[in-house]
Amino acid sequence: MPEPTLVVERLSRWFGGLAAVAEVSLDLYPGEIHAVIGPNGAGKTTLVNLLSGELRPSGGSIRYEGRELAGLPPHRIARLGIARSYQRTNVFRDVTAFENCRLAAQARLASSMRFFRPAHAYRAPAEAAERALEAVGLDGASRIADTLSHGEQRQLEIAMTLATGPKVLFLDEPLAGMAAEESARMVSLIVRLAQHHAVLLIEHDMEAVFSIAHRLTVMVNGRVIASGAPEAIRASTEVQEAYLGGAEPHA
Amino acid sequence: MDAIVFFLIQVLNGVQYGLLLFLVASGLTLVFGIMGVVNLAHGSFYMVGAYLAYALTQALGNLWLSLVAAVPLALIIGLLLELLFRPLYRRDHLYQVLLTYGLILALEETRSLLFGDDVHGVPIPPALDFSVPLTADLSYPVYRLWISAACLALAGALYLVISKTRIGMAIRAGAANREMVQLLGIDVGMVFRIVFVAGVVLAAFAGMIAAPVATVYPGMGNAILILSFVVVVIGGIGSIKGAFVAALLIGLADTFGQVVAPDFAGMTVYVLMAAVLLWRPAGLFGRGT
Amino acid sequence: MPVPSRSVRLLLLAGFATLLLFPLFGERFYLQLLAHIMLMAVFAMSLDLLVGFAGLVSLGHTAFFGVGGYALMLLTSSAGPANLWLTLPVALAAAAVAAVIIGLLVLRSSGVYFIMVTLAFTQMLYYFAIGQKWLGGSDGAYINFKPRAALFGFVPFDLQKPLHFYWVALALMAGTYLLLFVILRSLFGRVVCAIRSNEGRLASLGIPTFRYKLVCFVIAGALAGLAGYFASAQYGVVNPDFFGWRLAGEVLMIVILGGMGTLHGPILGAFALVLLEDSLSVASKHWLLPMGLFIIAAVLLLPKGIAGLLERARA
Repeated sequence: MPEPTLVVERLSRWFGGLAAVAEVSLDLYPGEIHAVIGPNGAGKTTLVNLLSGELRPSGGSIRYEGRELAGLPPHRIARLGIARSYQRTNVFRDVTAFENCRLAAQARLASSMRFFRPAHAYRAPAEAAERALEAVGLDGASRIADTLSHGEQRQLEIAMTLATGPKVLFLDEPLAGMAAEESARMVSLIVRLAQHHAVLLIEHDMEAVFSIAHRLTVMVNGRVIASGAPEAIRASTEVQEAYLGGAEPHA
Repeated sequence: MDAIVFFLIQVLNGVQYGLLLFLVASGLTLVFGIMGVVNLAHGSFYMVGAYLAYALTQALGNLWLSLVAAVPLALIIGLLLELLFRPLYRRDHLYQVLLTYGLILALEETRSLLFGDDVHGVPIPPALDFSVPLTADLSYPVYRLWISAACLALAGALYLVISKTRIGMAIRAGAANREMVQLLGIDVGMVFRIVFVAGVVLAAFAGMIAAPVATVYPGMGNAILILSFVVVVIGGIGSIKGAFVAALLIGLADTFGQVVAPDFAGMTVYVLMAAVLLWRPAGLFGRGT
Repeated sequence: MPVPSRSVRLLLLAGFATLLLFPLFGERFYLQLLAHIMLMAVFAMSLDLLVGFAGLVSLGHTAFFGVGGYALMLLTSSAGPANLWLTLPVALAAAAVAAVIIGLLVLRSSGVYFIMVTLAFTQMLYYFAIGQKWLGGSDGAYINFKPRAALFGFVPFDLQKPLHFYWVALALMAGTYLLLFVILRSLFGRVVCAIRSNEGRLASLGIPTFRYKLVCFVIAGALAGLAGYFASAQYGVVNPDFFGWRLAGEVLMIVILGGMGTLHGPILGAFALVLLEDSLSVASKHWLLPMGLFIIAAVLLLPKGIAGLLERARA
């Protein structure tokens, strides 16, 4: 087994007296889809915000390729090759889908403090943007992001994370609000992405999660209550009681 | 001995100025915090109050009578202006800035049409027109003490209303989180109206009682507006407590600034603001960003 | 960056040609007014970079305009004119340094705070200028000589001559337009526009937004200093009102009236607002009343400004 890309140990975040994330430990291997599931308010999005640097951890460590990430600002973490998508579509609404991805790819350049050469003269970001749009299968590259359908905006969201050329992807509910057909396409995209990326997947769609995740971590009230292979999680009585309400999750 | 008394006089002046500033800034900070409206014209309400006091004292011959007449007038002006402000609530800050900037120009020029551009005085009511002797040659005017007392009484009343009444609860909830007011099932429009009109009346009242010591002059509203901004920035948006502490701080800093470093007078408060911003970007009592 | 449509571009070109040819047939009296307008256009374009492109609503942009003007005053001796090529870079550098210092403080805040804090910092400079004798105190100070453009004995133009000053102002306006056009098209410009749209996302993509905002603030500050330098040269005087909130409001109004987020908007706005002010102030002593009402009406009825109106008229 190779070395894990990302090792999270006893990560916590307190809001006032409330622990939104309490001593969460997990790891992520290259080529793996590691899904984090749990009921609403379990702290999953807070976890992603901690990992991406948008929130500062109250305690614990996040090690990535031997480097400590806890306390780094988001842009530093992103530049190390970690990209995230958002549960609620979070794009640049007033420019085209292509420009959204081009900007994302531009972020990969050593610096954007370039004042005279036109942005469109830089080939690498434009090509990366085209590849990313192609990878997610989004057609309306020249359309303004705001005019895209919900499903297309979700695709754009993923395309932007890809355009930064990351090694690790944090996907926060990529299937949220998608129609069945779009959802199926997204699921196969995530499987394809896992061939070259380590994927941490937050998702509510249990059917999708159990069909594609290599490993699952279950969070309830900010804590990890179980972690392991999908079969083991499905069989766990603790998980069923605490989260699945005693009912077998339909696979 | 004289040095200590001189110091005491400056403290009294600073406190009195700070308390007046608080009356203006408290409305401003609530209008920001609850309604999300940047109101550049708030200082003009102070000016309106001062000119009301001037005009009514001329007509009625006495500041007390004119206060009795002017407060309801300010209330009516506040209610009318609230109608004008309603379309602003959902606008971008940028447009609020410009609309209220236009309003300042219009109000300032209306004042010029009605009263001219001269500096006017308002006589101190005879009952309070004397000084308390402090030493052989230093004394302190009683009217200034009365201003401080009136402001403190109002601040206390404001505190009681905000901490003890139902409408106060709605205001506190709104300052902390605007959506919360809706969740509490309170008529948001009503809360806005009360906060706005109260802000107008408080600022106008400050202008009225300050008129005898500060005189009545063109542009008086703008100087106090910008200082009120500084109070809001230092105290933290939406915080009455912050406004109170910051207003006193500014009043004292400004007063002592004039005495200690006259060449830099007027700058002290901004230096103070810069220092607070470095230390706490959201103000002393502001919620962190 | 939104590019004006073809017909609007033609209209702008026609306007530029008119300005170019104006001295041939126009009255000399108007040269000064037009030069003043074009310097205001430079000032407004620099503010638009912040407000319309980066989304930073500054009510304190006069700080840098004032620094530019005061720098020229200090660099001009009472004996004779200062050299343009020596003093202009110093004035621009002074405005840029002021922008770095103020920017480091104000860019930590956003939204309503940013508006108030920028205003407060200009106000600080205002009181500083009032309190200092070497800056002329509350009356300000005269600049008795316009800077001389001598370059190793060669004098390409003479700012004392209204016609030459007019050409220089026109060149400055066109130059600022082109410079900002190029900058906004660059990688840096794309980042700046994205900051207005969604700063948080930009950071999560890996771009340290603070330093881009700071650089943008400094570029805008230096350009405002440029406008202030030439404006003070034109009037032959500087006073604390260079820092005043009235001017800050006026230049913001120019940006909105013309159409923020476009480069030609501030130019159109400068012509419209200054010409309106000029005719109102001739008509009545109390011209600020209709001016105030006009501003209220314009903001309510024309949120996209004249530039937006032109695009709509075409469509």
